[in-house]
Amino acid sequence: MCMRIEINLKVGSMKVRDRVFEQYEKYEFTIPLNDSVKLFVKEGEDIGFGDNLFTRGESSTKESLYLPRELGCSIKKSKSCVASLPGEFVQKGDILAEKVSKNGLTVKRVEAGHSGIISTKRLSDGYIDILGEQSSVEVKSNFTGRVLSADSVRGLKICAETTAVDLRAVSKDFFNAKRENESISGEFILIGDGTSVYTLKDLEDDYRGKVVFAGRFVYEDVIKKIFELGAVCVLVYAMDYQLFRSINLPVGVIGGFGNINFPVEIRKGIADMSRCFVVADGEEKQVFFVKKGNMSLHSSEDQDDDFVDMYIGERVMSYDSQSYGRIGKVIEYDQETDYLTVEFQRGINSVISINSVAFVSL
Amino acid sequence: MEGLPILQKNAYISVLIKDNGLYANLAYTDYSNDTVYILHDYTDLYPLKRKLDDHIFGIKFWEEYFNALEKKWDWDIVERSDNRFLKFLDFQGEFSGVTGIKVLIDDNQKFFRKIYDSLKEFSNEIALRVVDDTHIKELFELLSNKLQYDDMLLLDLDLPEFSVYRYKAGEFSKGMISWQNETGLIDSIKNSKVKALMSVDVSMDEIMNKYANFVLRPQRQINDPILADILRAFCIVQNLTIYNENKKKLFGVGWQEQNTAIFVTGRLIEVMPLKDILLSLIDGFELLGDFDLYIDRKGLIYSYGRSMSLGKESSDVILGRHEILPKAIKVYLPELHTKKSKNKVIFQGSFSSMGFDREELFAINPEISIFNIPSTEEKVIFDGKFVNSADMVNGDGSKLSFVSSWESTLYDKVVVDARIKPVIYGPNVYANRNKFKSWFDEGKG
Repeated sequence: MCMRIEINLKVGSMKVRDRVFEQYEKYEFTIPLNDSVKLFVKEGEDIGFGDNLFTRGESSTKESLYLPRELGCSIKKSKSCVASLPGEFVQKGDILAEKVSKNGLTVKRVEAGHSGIISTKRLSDGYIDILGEQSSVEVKSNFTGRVLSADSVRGLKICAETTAVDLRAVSKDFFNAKRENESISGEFILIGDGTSVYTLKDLEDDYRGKVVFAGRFVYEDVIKKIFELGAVCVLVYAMDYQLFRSINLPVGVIGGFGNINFPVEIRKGIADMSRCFVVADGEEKQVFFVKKGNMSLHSSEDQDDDFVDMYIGERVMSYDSQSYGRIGKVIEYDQETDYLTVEFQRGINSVISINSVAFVSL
Repeated sequence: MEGLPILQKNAYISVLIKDNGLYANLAYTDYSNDTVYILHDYTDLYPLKRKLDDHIFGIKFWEEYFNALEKKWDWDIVERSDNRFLKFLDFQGEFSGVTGIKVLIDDNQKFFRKIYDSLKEFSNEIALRVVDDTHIKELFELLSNKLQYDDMLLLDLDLPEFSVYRYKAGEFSKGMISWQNETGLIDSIKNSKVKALMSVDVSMDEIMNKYANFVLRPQRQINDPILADILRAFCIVQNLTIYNENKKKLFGVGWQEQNTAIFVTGRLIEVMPLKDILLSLIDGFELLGDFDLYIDRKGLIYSYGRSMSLGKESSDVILGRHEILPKAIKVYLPELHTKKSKNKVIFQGSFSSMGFDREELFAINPEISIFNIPSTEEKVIFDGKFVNSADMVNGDGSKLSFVSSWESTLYDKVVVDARIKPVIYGPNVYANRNKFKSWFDEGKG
């Protein structure tokens, strides 16, 4: 028997829309506290932009030293070389760390450049800090939300409206921070306007407690300096994968690896989040930007359907090797070949397979 | 279990969820009108990868998914009330309603439990099945009866997991490489064996960046020759590692004369050309002999392999082998006993059919020749023999033959690998590039 078999000509596949800036109406996060804090908010209270949250004792940082670089060894090894105790008062010239090698023939020492109190809080990242005088710092809210619980042991648990951005990759230190129950959070700061590749001279003097966006591509010296200046986390659009794996610091990559395009639409979205409170969640591999005041957060266009209905007019991100990472508009679709004509810039069109693009909502 | 009446019209949907992808197929049968066809869709869930475990991926997603399938296939699938999903529409005829729906979820799919629960919550009309080792073993037992192969190998080449299943004389075995996270999978490319198999000279930085971008956001089509080269080398190394770790289980595939089948499926085969699939199989598993190769890009073997094997006994849909299995590729891997055969003809053969003029074939050492069987509705008879010291490990190389027909197996191509075995790569990328040039004659491909 010879069966008649009809061939399905509708070969193209359905496409799910990728919302680059996804909105979450009720996102819960915790701000860690310690015994020294005095809370001004309580459970069930609504928090507005600029409200006093708590005061805490904070010391100025006189000097930060990155031990792996000073001693020429790994972070793991540098931990065992520390010769001073946390909380110890050291004078200028005192030995902070010492590495003996070649059976004692060579000794590398790290000396204090200032007198002050030793802090090893960031030793897991390779840093040792010398702190100055302690002063009481008032922490104000730079977001709007509701307090779910507030105590110095469990921290300040907040529910708020957020915009989330997926991270392409997070370093393993993101997870380490999570394990130690210290969610990575802080004020979101951009180096410059966040659009370029930055050098050491573009950096500010102090990034303490900040989540820093390091631009379209970052090099090793810049990333290390940002952490040296106190950042809790660095986000970047792209970097080299080998550096990403060797850095051993909490780093999140938004776009991808290598020299890839940084589309203006995503640049604008990230710039809109500047000065927001941000929670970087390594487990979810997402960063959540918390709504501040009455200002609406940047979020992807509200489209009811997750599935792309008509291709023409939709925006796509290219994964084709010639235009990797570029965003353009579909102006033509050839059903027979499954190829799209995409306008990346006015008058500049490219023909790309539908299987080499992602439909995006910005 | 009671089978279906053969003349009953049927429209049965199967959705396979694996490696962040949805392979949907609607099989329509109307044997009273000699009409059988399968509508297919593949939906990539990578854009939702980070959101599969939160509220965004739930009932609303499945509602939208089946709405979108309705539009794509132009087939009424669901019944609505106030524009919301009520139930699946009972089967009324072609283009309207379904007789059943089954969703198979790979047990290795990330957020398996969340996806399973969301489907359960969405509709109790869906028959949920888990694709695990037990499921595949049962599938093999049924396929073995139906297709009459003594030795069968199933290669499932997804990015996070390479699985190889073998079913030989009633014995089921498995070898696999599974990566628990993306970082391990990306770092695996640093393996010196990968670099040794590559044919393009690029820095390790470029290799890592391109491969990391692909792993973190795979495409279904690649036009980057460097990435293609990386993936081919990666696949050979993965297969070779599985083979070396499971030599007892995987030794001698292809040695059963005319009785071995290899089924290949998974995300990676979508981006690999046939030549690369062949190299990753032949060199990865150090194969000799002959086998029928089935490349399943639509997930049909998982989706309907059971129904096809049960035939009239099937309780969901009755389907024949030609609807489910892609056309086979007959692969011959001879042994060459002397290095003096270089550039000599080692194979002579022909395609004969009532549908076209007789076509003569020959293969030269060290080429991998790919012969396309001309398209025809008539039977095609293949005859051939190995000459000049080339022979088959599993039988008489002087008498090779098979028939391609609707009554048995339909073949699409014949591959003759005339390289001296074992195949040696290197010592560098330039040597590999020259070897590839000598292995593949573009004119025949």
